[in-house]
Amino acid sequence: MGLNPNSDAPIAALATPPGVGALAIIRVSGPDLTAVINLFTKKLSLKDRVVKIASLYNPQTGALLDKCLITYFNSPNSFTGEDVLEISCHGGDYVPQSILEALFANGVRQAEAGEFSFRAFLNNKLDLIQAESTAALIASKSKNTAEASLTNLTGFFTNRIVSIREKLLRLLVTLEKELDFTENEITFLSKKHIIKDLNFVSLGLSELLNTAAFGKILTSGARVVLLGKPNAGKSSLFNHLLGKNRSIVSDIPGTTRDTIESWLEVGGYPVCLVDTAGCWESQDYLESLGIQKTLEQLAHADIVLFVDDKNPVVSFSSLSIKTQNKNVVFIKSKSEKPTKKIKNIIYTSVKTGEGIKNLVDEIEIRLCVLSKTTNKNTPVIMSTRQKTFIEDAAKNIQRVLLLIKNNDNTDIAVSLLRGCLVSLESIIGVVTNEEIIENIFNKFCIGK
Amino acid sequence: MNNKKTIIIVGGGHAGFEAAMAASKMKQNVLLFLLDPLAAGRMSCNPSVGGLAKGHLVKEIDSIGGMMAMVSDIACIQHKTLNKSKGRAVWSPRSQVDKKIYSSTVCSLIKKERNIKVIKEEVVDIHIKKDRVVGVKTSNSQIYHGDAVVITTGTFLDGIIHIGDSSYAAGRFGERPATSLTRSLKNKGVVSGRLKTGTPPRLDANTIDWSVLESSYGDKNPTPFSSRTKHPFSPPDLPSFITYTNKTTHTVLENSIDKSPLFTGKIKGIGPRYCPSIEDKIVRFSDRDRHQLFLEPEWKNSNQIYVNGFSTSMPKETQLFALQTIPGLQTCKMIRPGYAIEYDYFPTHQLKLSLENKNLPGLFFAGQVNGTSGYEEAAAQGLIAGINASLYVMEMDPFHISRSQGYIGVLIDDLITKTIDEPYRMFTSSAEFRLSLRPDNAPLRLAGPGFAVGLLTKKQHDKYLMFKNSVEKIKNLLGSTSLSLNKKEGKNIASTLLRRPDVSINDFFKTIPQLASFKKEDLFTAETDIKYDGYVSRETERVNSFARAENTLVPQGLRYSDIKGLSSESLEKLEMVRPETLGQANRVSGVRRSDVFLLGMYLKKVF
Repeated sequence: MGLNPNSDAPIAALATPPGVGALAIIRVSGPDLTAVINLFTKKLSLKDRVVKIASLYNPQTGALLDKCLITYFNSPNSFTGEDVLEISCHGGDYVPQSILEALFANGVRQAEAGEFSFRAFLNNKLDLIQAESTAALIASKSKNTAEASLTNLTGFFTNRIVSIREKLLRLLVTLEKELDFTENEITFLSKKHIIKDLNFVSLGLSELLNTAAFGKILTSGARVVLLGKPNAGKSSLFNHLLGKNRSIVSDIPGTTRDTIESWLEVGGYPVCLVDTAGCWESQDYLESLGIQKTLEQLAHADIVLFVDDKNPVVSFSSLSIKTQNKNVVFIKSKSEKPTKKIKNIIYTSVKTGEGIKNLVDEIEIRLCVLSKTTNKNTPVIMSTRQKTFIEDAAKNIQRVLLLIKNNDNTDIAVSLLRGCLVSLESIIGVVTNEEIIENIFNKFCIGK
Repeated sequence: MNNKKTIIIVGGGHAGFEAAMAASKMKQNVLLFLLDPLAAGRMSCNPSVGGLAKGHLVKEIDSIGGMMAMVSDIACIQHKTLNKSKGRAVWSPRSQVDKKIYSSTVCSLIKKERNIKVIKEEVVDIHIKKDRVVGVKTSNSQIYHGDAVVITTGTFLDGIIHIGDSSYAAGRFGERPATSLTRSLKNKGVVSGRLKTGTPPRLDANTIDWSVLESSYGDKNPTPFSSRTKHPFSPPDLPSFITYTNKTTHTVLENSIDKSPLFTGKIKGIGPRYCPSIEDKIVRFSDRDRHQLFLEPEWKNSNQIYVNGFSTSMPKETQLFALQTIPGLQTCKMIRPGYAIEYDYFPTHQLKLSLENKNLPGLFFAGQVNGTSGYEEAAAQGLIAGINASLYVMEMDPFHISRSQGYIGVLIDDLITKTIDEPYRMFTSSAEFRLSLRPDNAPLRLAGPGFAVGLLTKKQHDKYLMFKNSVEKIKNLLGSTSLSLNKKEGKNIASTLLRRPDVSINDFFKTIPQLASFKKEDLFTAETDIKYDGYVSRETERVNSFARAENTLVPQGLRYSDIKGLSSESLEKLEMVRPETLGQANRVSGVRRSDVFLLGMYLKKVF
């Protein structure tokens, strides 16, 4: 990784997407930027959090680079904790690039991906949860994802971890003391009290863990897989769903010709809709590679949409492909004029638009159930890293509870509690090692 | 290498004694400077050795080849394992000892050692030539040559005893202090500070009403501290007696609190929070309406009784008045009052892991003069300093115990990385590898290193190897035998069964008769190893995830100011402590994590 601890060199990068646009923003961060900016302008006195208009000239050639707006943030009151300049210049391919090149020719270095946030972390401006939330916010494809990331970014999650950690730490210190002092020297905590504290910690952790499913859907999106015969009408349903919901982010061709994925937003959730193709009833198909792909999709599916133009429930039960997934929505396609409606089947028609809203509502309900979003007061776990540490801590608390209840080895219980503490501290980044840090900041784009 | 070099040791307390013996066993000439040759190994405070965490230290000292365990066993009058309900990693052996026998044993051991020469003079200065220590000067202006010097002066440097309003210069009760050495060391750039500690009054046994007091005996079949102590180990098991302070006692003390030099501001040194005086206790734990006291004999048939838990520097009259409110002590008389003692110490950030001063090669410091409290902490340092002074004169690499190898490693690493603002006491909680650092497995961890430096004889080391082999054999046996403990269950591997809390190795004797041929201690250690195995590996994994940082060396000449972005407070601390590894840097008090991270990245990039 190129994250450079040598923070005496100022860094710069384009903070807005490259290409044609009215404006572009170049972000510069370093220990002292007055000297840098003075090379480019005449008599510009920077004031903290004040926007100034200035013409920038190439220090070597004297040529005008652009007339810009420059916002200055004085260290430590900036995003990175260092001096920060935000240069708003004209957009497009040429102007921002020429300013950057002039900066690079005068002692400023191109920032690596995530380096601004990394400096913010080093200067205690950002903890690891906040860093992850920043990355998630930038990458978010849906309302709920953006909201949860923003909430975590404010420190909501961090504060929760900190308060659980405080409780744990106090308990740990008390138990440590009981190992190091005799009962004549200090008053021991009652077993009831210890168990009460452990339960409090345990409850706090499982509350957080319950949000993991929601968080996973928010960050990775829910996988909704269409299944059905080739002529069952599922491809038109696929297109119709995407057409009706204009929040398509990208079209990723399937890993084989057999599956196609596309993103849409349902009820504020990012959804990855997957179309599988194939006629599984033929002997050829069963032996083909295609079935492998379909099976893989089914294994990762959060919701399965089973489409059939006759009777989906009957067709599904006669399937030679079996899925363990309980979350199957039965869809009767081509139902322009449904005669008799069977319960638990959604009747749709892409021609008339019949039943599409019902289907979208059904998907939303199922997503809500999947993500167990009941409590707005609980921060959402948004990364596997966070989940793993909380899971570890929660498991160890259970072991400790068992030991304490059985009056077994306090030395072991305390060792496990120390482990819990390290897990919680790792989530925020109080204790951490380089690999973890590199992993987190590597996910960033340049300029963040 | 063949030429014997001379090592000068200043002071013959627990640190000095270990240092002298280690250097002598490593075949160096030792000049041991004592103010009073009969005071060697004297116990100035409690008549006991070991206890919580300290017992671990004593076991480790013994495993490396030090003396404290053996001397304690000789002087033992009662032995008990504390913390028995809390898990075997924190079981803590403790001996009540006969102070007279302890000190006289130390004196005779010194006398027997041919390489040690005792000199009854006060050292007042250190001689330095070309930045190396070359000897010492005494108060008679005599100069003695030495290739290395170990300072183990305890509480004697500018010691001042306080009792109520009165104070006078002393090293310990009835002994004069050393007044010039601090000044000389300061002139050579050594930084000093002031600390204080205290001791309780001693009572006349004949004036105590023993009949109303509860007695406390030792273990029925005690295990000796030292594996060199011959069996059977059967100390006389003399009892201690228990009594309690009460509200009246507290009122008496409270009424005179303004006379305690601790509260009048007369004592400037900082005392240990963890071994507080009785006046401290009633102020800080005002919710407790009584404090337990142990009345301990200072030696066999002693008329002098130590009041454990009643350390004080109140005026004599107040001490007596307060004591006489306590059951059993209504008519007691004091042989001598409790007192507080203030003394000079040398903050340990000036030392390397070898306990050698960073700027004055050949000058070592060990014991209470390093800001620690306790005989055991002193002895452990003395042993390490003695070994390292010997290795230094032999021009060999220093001896080092890591934090994962033993409490001694934790103690020394803590000393040189943490800012100590009160006397340092060993705690089990300071050891991050606590589950693997048990008293019973100390030889398995440390006998190898002890033999390698020449402190253990071949015979002693062979005994440890036998222990190690037996433990391995038992573990293999249990790992390869399947059995069922009751008819309901199918067969299981014995070592798997043993992991259950309710199963003991004794349950296997019927089915695995070979077990009977092993010693009790071997079975105990093997059993504990198996029971703790899973937890130990979890602990090790957790600690080791930071081990790479732990072992990353920080070059001693590093200019921290070159690392841009370091906060000024971290810069200052790092410049002062100059950690030897990144792990140490991480433990330096007041250094920010992000700065340690920055340092790590810098080292990776530049070196």
